[in-house]
Formats: sequence, C-alpha cells, structure tokens
Amino acid sequence: MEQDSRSSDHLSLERISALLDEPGDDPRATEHLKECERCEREQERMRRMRMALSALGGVTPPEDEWEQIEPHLPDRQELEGRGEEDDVLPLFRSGWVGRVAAATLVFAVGLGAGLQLRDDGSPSGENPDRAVASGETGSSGATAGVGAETGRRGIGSAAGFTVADDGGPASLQRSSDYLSAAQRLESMVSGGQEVDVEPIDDPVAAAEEMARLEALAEAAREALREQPADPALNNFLFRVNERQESLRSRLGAAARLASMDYR
Amino acid sequence: MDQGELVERARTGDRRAMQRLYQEHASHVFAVVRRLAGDEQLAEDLSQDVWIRAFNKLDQFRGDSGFGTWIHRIARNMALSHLRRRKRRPDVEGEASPGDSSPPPEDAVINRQMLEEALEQLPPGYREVLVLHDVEGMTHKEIAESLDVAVGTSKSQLHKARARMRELLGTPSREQQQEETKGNGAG
Repeated sequence: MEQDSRSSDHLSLERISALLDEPGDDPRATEHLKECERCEREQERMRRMRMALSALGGVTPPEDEWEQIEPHLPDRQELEGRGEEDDVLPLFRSGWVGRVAAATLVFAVGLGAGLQLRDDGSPSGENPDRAVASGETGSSGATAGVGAETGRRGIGSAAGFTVADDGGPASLQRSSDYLSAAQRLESMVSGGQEVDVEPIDDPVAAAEEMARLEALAEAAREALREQPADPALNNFLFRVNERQESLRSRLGAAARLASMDYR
Repeated sequence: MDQGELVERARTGDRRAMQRLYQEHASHVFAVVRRLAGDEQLAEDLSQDVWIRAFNKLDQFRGDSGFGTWIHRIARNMALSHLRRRKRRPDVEGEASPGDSSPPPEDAVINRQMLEEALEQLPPGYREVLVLHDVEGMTHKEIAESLDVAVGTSKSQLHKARARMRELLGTPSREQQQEETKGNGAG
C-alpha cells in the first residue's frame, strides 16, 4: 500500500516514481523525500533506471531475417508498374481510387451545376449528396444544366483527370464508369469494405485511407473555388470530412500518426 | 552513397539498396517490436512484417523525416496495432513499497542485459507503457491515444511498471544489504 507521506513510513515505489516525473505534484511527499534518506536514495536509483532505459539501443535481429524478408519485397517490374499509375497524379497513387475519385468528382460537379435528379421518374434533387453517395443517380437518371464545364475542368485539373470538352453531362449520366464511380464513392465515404480494410488494426492502411480522403477533399475544395455555392460539391466535401472525422475518432492517435508522420 | 540515394534506389526495386537500408536500421526496428511485444517469436514475425510493409510502401515516404524515423514509426505503430488486437486489459497488481518483500538493490550498476531481462518479465500492460514512455520517449498523452486509455491510466501503469522493475532488477549483494539496513534507520 502507498504510504502517507505525513507519517514516518516510507513512500511507495510508485509514489517515488510519480515524484520523479512531477516533483511538485505532492508537496508533503516531496518534503518527506528531503527528510528520508532511504526514500531519497530509492528515488536516485529510480532515476538511474529511467536513464538506463532511455539509453537502451538496438537489439540484434535473427541472423536470417533478411533472407526471410527478401522473397516478399517488390521487384523492379512491379514498382515500375506502380510508377505508371503515379503519373496520373501523385495524390492519387492508389490506382482505381484516384480514377474513381476523379471521375466521381466530375460527376458531382455535373450534378451541382444544375442537374435535376430524378427518382422514379419524378423531379427530385433535394438531396443530391445522397444520390451521389449512394450511386442512385446513374440509374435514376440525371439531366444536366449548363455551366458545369468550368467546374469540371477545375476538378479535372485538381484530380489530374482530363475532361473532354465535348463530353456533356448527358454522356456522364450514361457512362457506366460514373455509375461505378459513384457506387465506389459510397463505399469509400461510408466506410465500405473496398477501402476500409481493417482500418483500426493496420496503421499503414489507415494512412492510405486518410491520404485518399484528403486527396478527395482537396480536389473538392479546388472545384469549390470556382463554384463555391455548388450544393453537390459542398455536400460531397462534407461527407468526406465526416468520413475523415469518423476514421480519426476510430483510430485515435494511430490514424493521426499514420497519416501525418509516414512521410 | 547517402541514405537519400539508397531510398531512391530502393524505390526502383534495387535489392542491394534495400538491403543496405535494412542493415542500417534492422537493430532499431527489431528493438522496438521486441520490447513492445515481449516475445521473441512474435517480435521476429512483426519485424519481418514491418520491413516488408515498408519496402512495399516506400513510395509513401516523402523524405520529410529520415528513413530511420519513418521506419521506426511504422515498427512502433505495427507493434501497437498488434497489441491492441490482443485487447488486453490493464494489469492490476498491488503496489510495491520499499519496505515490501525483498528490497531492491542498492546502487548496483544497471546494465543493459539486466534491463532487458526485467522488461521481459514485466506484465504486458506495464511493459508497453514503460517502453513507450521511458525507452521510446512518448508522452502520456501520446501513449493514452495510442493505447486508447486515459492519461491517468498511462501514468498509473508507468509508475507501477517502474516499481516492478525495481523489484525485478535483482537481489542486493551482502554489502548492499548492509548498506540498505543502515539506510533503513534514517527513514
């Protein structure tokens, strides 16, 4: 049991340890330390132990560790393949994720620039965000208004994705790529399996997901500079931010470390 | 060849560059996973995973910090992730006092082997916090976030861990015991 420092009993080792880190935390215990040679010496031992721990160096790994590791390392060909993907945009290094993000953002801008969403054939559009995120828009139909070109080019630029000038919103609507993109976005934003693979247990995967989300958010912000009032874009960014917050809260410090420090 | 060049070459799949990076940092990577895991076999598995993961994700290394810092963080985070998966509860043990059981050694030289052996004998929950705080230099706030515990829990575990370490660091020699006896009179 911890001893009361007011008595003549000695301080517990735990109390001594605490006083080592926070000397002013307990004035009476500190006073006891000054008067009690034994406790003072014990604190000195504890201090030395702490210093010795901080000076611990490396530990020799097994002799054959490299031989165990090497067969699992990426080869030149594999890495070169990744490099080609990187040419799309450094922020979007994860293959389909980048392309999906770019395509989806183009899609979102198209929606936000005057699309009227239809559900069951009737006018809708009150909740374009839901439509984008759920992937319902493609199947329910979307007709585009004018004025999306500028924003689409902006997004295309932000995402390293070329938007064809002759590709009108109607063509976007019909494109299965965009349907797929929206469906995948739903998975991404709502934490579906395609992206959210063991996020809590795998800091590197968490870092990747955070990077993807940040890339999406940045691309959306870029597009919003040109069309700041665009509801679909704003909703989209909100959803991405929500997803980021959710991931952060679930991962705690691990996610932050992974996303901020793995650089 | 400096480390930046090694990293660049490793990014292109140069195995010799990878091996050089491995050789330079293997002992530190193994140390952090070994101490956190507290188990040789587990540490070997984790260490291999760290290196395989790192070399496969080398494109994410931007060079803002040194390669050593980067891989050290990966090692620490992967070890912590593994520990979290085990979902252990904090070890609850009685407090130790200088007057309890056998007294800790006097000012005996604390060598590295003694420390490593004592660390291995610590209950896992104690060891994690002690390693993270006193060896790795993390703050209680960082530890609390990493282990998903309260800051107060981290502090409490640390002090219990240190107390246990003091007990584990051996039996005092006869001279030390005599000195200890003298010291007892002053309390």
